[in-house]
Amino acid sequence: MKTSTILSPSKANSLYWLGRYTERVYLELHLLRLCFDKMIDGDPQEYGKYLSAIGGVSRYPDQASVINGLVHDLSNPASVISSVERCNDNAVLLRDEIKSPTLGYIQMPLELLRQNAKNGIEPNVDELQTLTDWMLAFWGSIEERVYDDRVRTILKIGKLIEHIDMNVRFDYKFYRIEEAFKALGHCKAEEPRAFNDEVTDELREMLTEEKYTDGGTEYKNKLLYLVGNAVVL
Amino acid sequence: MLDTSVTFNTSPNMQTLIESRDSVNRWLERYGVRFGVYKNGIFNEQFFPFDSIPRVIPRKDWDILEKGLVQRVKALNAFLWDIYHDKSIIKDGIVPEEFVYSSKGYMPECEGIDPVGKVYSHISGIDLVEGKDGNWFILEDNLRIPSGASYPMIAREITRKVSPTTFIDNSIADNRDYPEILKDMMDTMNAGRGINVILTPGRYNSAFFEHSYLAEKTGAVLAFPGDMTVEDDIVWYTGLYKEKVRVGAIYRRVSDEYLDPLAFEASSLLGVPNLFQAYKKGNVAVINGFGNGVADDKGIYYFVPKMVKYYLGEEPILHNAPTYLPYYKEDYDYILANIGKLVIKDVSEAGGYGVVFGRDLTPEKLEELKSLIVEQPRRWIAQEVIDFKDLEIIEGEEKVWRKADLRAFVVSGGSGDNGGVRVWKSGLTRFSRNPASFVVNSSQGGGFKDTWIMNV
Amino acid sequence: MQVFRYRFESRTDFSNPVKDHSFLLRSFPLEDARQTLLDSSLRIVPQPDSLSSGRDCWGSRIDYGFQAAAHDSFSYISEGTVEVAPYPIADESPSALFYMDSRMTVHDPAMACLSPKTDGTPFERALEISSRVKTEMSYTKNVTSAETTAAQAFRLRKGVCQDYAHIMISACRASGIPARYVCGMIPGEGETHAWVEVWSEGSWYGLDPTAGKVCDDRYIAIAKGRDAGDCPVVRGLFKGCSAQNTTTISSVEQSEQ
Repeated sequence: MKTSTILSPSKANSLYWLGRYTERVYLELHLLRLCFDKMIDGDPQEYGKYLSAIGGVSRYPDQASVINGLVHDLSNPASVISSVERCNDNAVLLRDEIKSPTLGYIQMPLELLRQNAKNGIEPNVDELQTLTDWMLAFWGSIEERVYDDRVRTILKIGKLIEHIDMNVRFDYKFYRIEEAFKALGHCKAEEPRAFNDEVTDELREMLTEEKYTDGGTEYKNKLLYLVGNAVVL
Repeated sequence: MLDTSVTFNTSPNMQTLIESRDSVNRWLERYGVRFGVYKNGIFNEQFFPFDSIPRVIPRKDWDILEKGLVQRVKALNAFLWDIYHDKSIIKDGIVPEEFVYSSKGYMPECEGIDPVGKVYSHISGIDLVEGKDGNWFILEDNLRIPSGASYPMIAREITRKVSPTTFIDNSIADNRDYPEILKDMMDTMNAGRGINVILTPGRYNSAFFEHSYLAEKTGAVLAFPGDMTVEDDIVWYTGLYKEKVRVGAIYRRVSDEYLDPLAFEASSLLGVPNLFQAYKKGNVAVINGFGNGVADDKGIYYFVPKMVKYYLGEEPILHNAPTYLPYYKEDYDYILANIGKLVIKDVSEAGGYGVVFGRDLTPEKLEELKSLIVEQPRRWIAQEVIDFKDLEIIEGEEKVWRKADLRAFVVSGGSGDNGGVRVWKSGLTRFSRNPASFVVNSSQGGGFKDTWIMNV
Repeated sequence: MQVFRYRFESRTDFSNPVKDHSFLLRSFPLEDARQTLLDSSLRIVPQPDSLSSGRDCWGSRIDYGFQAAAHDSFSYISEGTVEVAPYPIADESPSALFYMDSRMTVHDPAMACLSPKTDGTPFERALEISSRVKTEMSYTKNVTSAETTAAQAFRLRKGVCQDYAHIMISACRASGIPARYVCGMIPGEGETHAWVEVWSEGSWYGLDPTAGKVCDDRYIAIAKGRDAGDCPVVRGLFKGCSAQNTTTISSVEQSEQ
């Protein structure tokens, strides 16, 4: 019997968001380690910057609860556990596409975070590194186990969109955004109908080194808006 | 019957498996083997606790079970065909008409419909218990959407990894062929060379893990409500850019009344509108078929051994638990006289909640139940309490004995011999965690074991 | 025997456009021993992508289809000519289903007062039930819905023709008289009507508990079943967030021919 390579709109949407959230988790972990490092040097405002960049609200009274909150607080949408829960929400719908062993690399972080949050365990570098390892393993498992080009491409589109979004929020250097945008162009060649042409054209126009370096809040907000609307899945 | 449990479970290669219980449960976590439960309206996901001591069924016993299960399921499919066509079993006075028409599972809409290959119950989950005397009894037939096969499937995959020596040293029938059996059946039933899909109500269904796992393993597409449409009596699966592919077989995990909102429950958002019309035309296989509830009704259960004789002309190999229908005068008198030692089941309920043991009731409650039976005799059946053979499980650090049943999976409509009926050489063994409980329903907090068919 | 021109028109307006619209209609007079369809047509606007027809298990004609593109209204007109004979309809053995409670007609002890007090043929007893229903109930619109059961409507003692029919069916079945629900049209009513068929001595007879009379050859049946749940004239499911407003107009006129 025919094996279908057809992908439903709802699965495409889940793939896109799975790509976005796995990348978000990965970058959050990276940024958190940097942020915690700066706090050691006595900059207690660092997490406030982190939160405002990621769109969360500062709500914790002291440094210890900040660290815990950014990792284990499910009521904080900017926490790592929240992002992993969102990964899971999408990944469980995709078991037949990404396969159970790949799904395991979402299930393990989820279970670890849920357990640690439940048992009030303070986040530590081992936990964060383990989570990072699993996120990398997730992407490795996609490479190894998923042969459907469309599935891989849509996941990658989500990953790159999130990558650009986070890099803009955290004022990363232009070349990093340019690189990701270029990679997104390759995805667009493979899956042209997944993109809004007008928005991607506008993005391309806005993404010059000069404009990016000189750009103020308005420019940045516009950029983030366009990034969020470039894909129509 | 051979009592293997004591010596067998202390052999060294079994010990490694038994000691690996935590490791197995970790692997189950890793694979997201959960089931959903609603408590006070809040959705929660739980793990289905695995006990590493397997239920062992010796080959010679299994051979009998297998023959009996094939026989029973053939008779049940013949009954479904008959009920929705000639009704000869009613005309010949074997099953009273009112038991059929008053069953909630009877669907007049199915009258005269010829499902693909005449198969109604493609996947039958037959629940059995083993008595202390080694005799097996049928507890109930599940012919609508029996669930649970995925748990022993994935448990076996994991235990083989975790304790390979156990599987080298013991001759255990491989059970990893269930996806092949399913796929072969779906391909054989498939109408119009379309794709196979598994239709799930969605991730908040208690068996969502199973739906997604079976899709992965059989290569069928996991379909959600809204993914399919019906045009010109053909079912189509719609892709991302509106491209359409024909659907030939739907292994649906949505119940009859919600499966087509235009033909049945209008408020359903879980169905495929006009699917019933496509099914009626024979343009799609619906697995399991519509209207099967009439054959797995608790009231109809009593008649299954009679069906075996009636349709197949054979003596039933497997027996029901001794059952009485208050509908018949003789049984009615017996039930009222012996209610204290019987188990009474409410025919109109499912899920293990409508089961009452006479011995647990106060005299007042017994009288109350009696008057209910007098009022509505058709609503009840009564059974002798079977003295189950308990199975060993590990509770904390010690081994304890608990009640358990076995759900055997019988797949009909495949390409092989025997009319395409195959019994999966495994099954779901569920046990009750509560030592006093006879009810082993997983929605009431039990666990499960692997089931080994062994050449011992 | 009478010949009628009938026309049934339904229009649904959506406040926001909807798409992927599946629908199923029952809009043709039944073709049975009592009714012969001389000519008929069905027009649906907008023209659906697919349209099929068949019969449901009770013999009613169904037309069903699918419309993918967005649209903000859905209407259909069914019209034609039908020849109608008077009741009864011969039937040697009615299905056991018409003896039993159905979902919307589950009997309630409160309805005991509707039981016939006299002996007689099932038809005569049903007639007595019909007049008791009419006496007990007061015809009131907008207090019940399409989902209201016989017991609920009887508690209110208020309702419309569907409720009258359900209550009568429930009482008939409780008295051992097979009964079924009929949805159809009669001359002089702007909308669909509901009545009851009861089985007596080898034939089905029509009784109209709302009008309190025996049905004649002006009663044109569209759909029959255990209760109204088997006879919806239109059902649809679509994607889109929209309020909807449906108006239906039916007209039946004696034909010139």
